[in-house]
Amino acid sequence: MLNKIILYLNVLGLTWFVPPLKMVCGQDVAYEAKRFVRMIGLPLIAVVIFLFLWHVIAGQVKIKGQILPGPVEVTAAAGKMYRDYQASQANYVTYQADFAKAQTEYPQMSETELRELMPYTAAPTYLDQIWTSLKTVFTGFVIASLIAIPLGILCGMSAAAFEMINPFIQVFRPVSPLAWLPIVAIIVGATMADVPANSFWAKSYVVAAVVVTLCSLWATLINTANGVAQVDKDYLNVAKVLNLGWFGTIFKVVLPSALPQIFNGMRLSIGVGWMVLIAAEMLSQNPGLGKFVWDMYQSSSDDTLALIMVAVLTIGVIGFILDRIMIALQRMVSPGAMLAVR
Amino acid sequence: MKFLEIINVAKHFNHPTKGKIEVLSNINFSMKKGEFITVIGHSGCGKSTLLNMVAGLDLPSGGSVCFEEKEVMRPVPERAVVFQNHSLLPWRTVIGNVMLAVNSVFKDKSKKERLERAEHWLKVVGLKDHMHKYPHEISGGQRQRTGLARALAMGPELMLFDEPFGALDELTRSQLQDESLRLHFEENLSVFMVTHSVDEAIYMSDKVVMMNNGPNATIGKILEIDFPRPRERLKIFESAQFAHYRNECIRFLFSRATGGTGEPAPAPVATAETPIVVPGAAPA
Ligand SMILES: Nc1ncnc2c1ncn2[C@@H]1O[C@H](COP(=O)(O)OP(=O)(O)O)[C@@H](O)[C@H]1O
Ligand SMILES: [Mg+2]
Repeated sequence: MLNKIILYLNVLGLTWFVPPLKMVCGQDVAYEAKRFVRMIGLPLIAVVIFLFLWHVIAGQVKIKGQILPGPVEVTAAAGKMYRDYQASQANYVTYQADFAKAQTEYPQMSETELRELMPYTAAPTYLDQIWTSLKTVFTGFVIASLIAIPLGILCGMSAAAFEMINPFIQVFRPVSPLAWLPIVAIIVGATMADVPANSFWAKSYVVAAVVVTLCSLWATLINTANGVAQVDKDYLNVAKVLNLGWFGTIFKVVLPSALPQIFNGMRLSIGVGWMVLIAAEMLSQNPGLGKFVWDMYQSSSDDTLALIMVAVLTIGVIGFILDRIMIALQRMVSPGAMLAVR
Repeated sequence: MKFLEIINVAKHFNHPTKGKIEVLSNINFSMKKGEFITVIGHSGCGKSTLLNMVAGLDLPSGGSVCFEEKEVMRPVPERAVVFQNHSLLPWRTVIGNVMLAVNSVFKDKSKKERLERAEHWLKVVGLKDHMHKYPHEISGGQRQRTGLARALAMGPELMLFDEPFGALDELTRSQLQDESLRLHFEENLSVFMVTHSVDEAIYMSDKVVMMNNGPNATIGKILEIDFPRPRERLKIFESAQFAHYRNECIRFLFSRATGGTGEPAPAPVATAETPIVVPGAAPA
C-alpha cells in the first residue's frame, strides 16, 4: 500500500512528499530525515540567502528617488492586491444583490435586458487576469497540439513529408512572438471586425492565443515526428503481419509507442507558450497577466515596481506548476512508470 | 499444390553511405505442407533477411518467393511470424497482445468467440495464469510463449520462427523447443525456422538448410533428418545418428562456410564427440 502511494507520488513528480510520508509510517526514519533535509532544506537555505541579499541590496538602490522594492515591499504589494481582490468580491456580491432586487421589482424585463441596463463594470481582478492568461495559453496550446501532432505523425511516418515540412520548421521556429503579433493582429482584426470586445472570442484574446499557437507549435511537431520515426521497427513489422492497416497501425502501435515523446514536446510547447503569452498579451491588450504588467508599467504609482515583481513571481510559479503537470502526464503515459503502478 | 517455393532469390540493400550491400544470392529450395524446415548459418549471413522475404515484410531483389503457388508480395496473417525478440507491445497485457492479432484477423467473429480464441491459445502455451500481466512482468520464456500464442491465434498456414529461442537460458530453451515440437505434431503446423544453433536445428527439423557466409550468401547443403516424430529429446541427443548429423553440420559451417570475401569463420566451440544432452553451445 505504502509502496504504491510512493510510486504514484514519484510518477506524479511529487517526490518531496515521499520522505515525510515514510517518516510518518516509521520507515527508515534516519535516512529519510536526511533526504528530506537535503530536498527541502538546501533549497530553503538558498531562498533565505536570496531574500536576505535582495533585502539588503534593494535598500541601497534608489531609482527616481524611490528605493528598489525588497521582499518586504513586494509582500506588502501582494497583500494590497489581495485586499483589492476581497473588496472587489464584496462589490460583486452587492451588485448581484442589487440585480436580484431589480429583477423582482421589474418582473416584466428579461434578464439580458436588465443586465444591459445595469452592467457590472468593475475592472477585472488579479485572479480574473490569471484566469484569462491560463485560458488564453490553453487555447493556443490546444490549437497548436491539434495542428502539430497530426503533422508530426505525418512527418515521422513519411520521410518525404518531413523533407517538405522541414524548411518551414527551420525558418518559422526561431521567429519571435513580437514579429508574429502585428501580422496576426491585422488578420484577426480584419476577419473578426464584427465580434464585440466583451464576447468570449474577443479579438485581443484570439490574437494572443494564435501567437501562442504559432510559437509553441514547433516543439510538439518536432518531438512527435522524432517519436514516430523512432518507433521500434519490430513493432511496425508486427503491425504488418497482423494486417492492422494504416489506421490500426497509427492508433494501436505508432501513437502508444510515441506518446512519451509527444508529451515531452507538449511540455516544451506549453513552456514556450506561457513565456510568449506575456509578450503577446502586452501588445494585444488581452486582459491577462501581460496586460497587468503593461498597465502597471504605464501607471506611475509608488508601488509600480513591487506590483510588477508580484506579477513576475506569479508568472514564474504558474509556469513551474504547468511544467510539473506536464511532467506528471508524460510519466503517466511512459511505459514502465504507470505500468508498474497498475 | 506446391506449398512454399523459393526460386533463385537474391537480395541486396542500398545503403546510403556503404552503397549496395549484397546479402543473398541464388537461393533455391522448397518446403512441403506440414514440414519443419530450419535454415542455419552464422550470425549476419542473412537468415532474418530470408525469413522476412518469406513473410512478405521485404521483397527479393531478384527471383521470387511463392506461397501456395502465388508470389509473396506482402505480409498476411496466414504466414505468422514469431520474432527474434518477442516484439510484444509493452503497453498491452499478454492477452491484449494476442487479442490485437485475433481482432485483426477474425473481424467477423463475435467478441466472445475472439476472446475464447485468444484464451485457448494462451492456455495451450501454458500462460493461463499470466494472461492479464504486462510483458515486463513475465519471464523471457513466457514472453516468447506469448509471441507463439499470438502467432498461433492467427490460425496460420505457415509459422515463421526467427531465432525465437535465441535469447533464452538453456533449460527454458529446451522446454520451448519441446513444446513447439508438440504443437507442430499435434496441430499439424508447417514451420520455417531460422537459427544459429546446430543442435536445435537437427533436433527439431525434417530438413536443415545450411547457408554459407555472406556477402552473397547462398545455400551450401541441405541435410535430411529422419528421426521419427514425436521426438524424444534424450533418445535423439544420445543417438549415434544425431552425432553424425551434428558432424555434418559443423564440418560445413566451420570449413566451407566462408564464401568469397567473407571473414574467416570462428573456431568450433565443441566437437561432435562431446556428449551434449542439452542443445545450445552453438557457434554464434
Ligand atoms: N535494412 C537493411 N539495410 C542494410 N543492410 C541490411 C539491412 N537488413 C540487413 N542488412 C544486412 O544484411 C546482413 C544480414 O542480416 P540478417 O538477415 O539480419 O542476418 P542474420 O539474421 O543471419 O543474423 C547483415 O550484414 C546486415 O547488416
Ligand atoms: Mg537475425
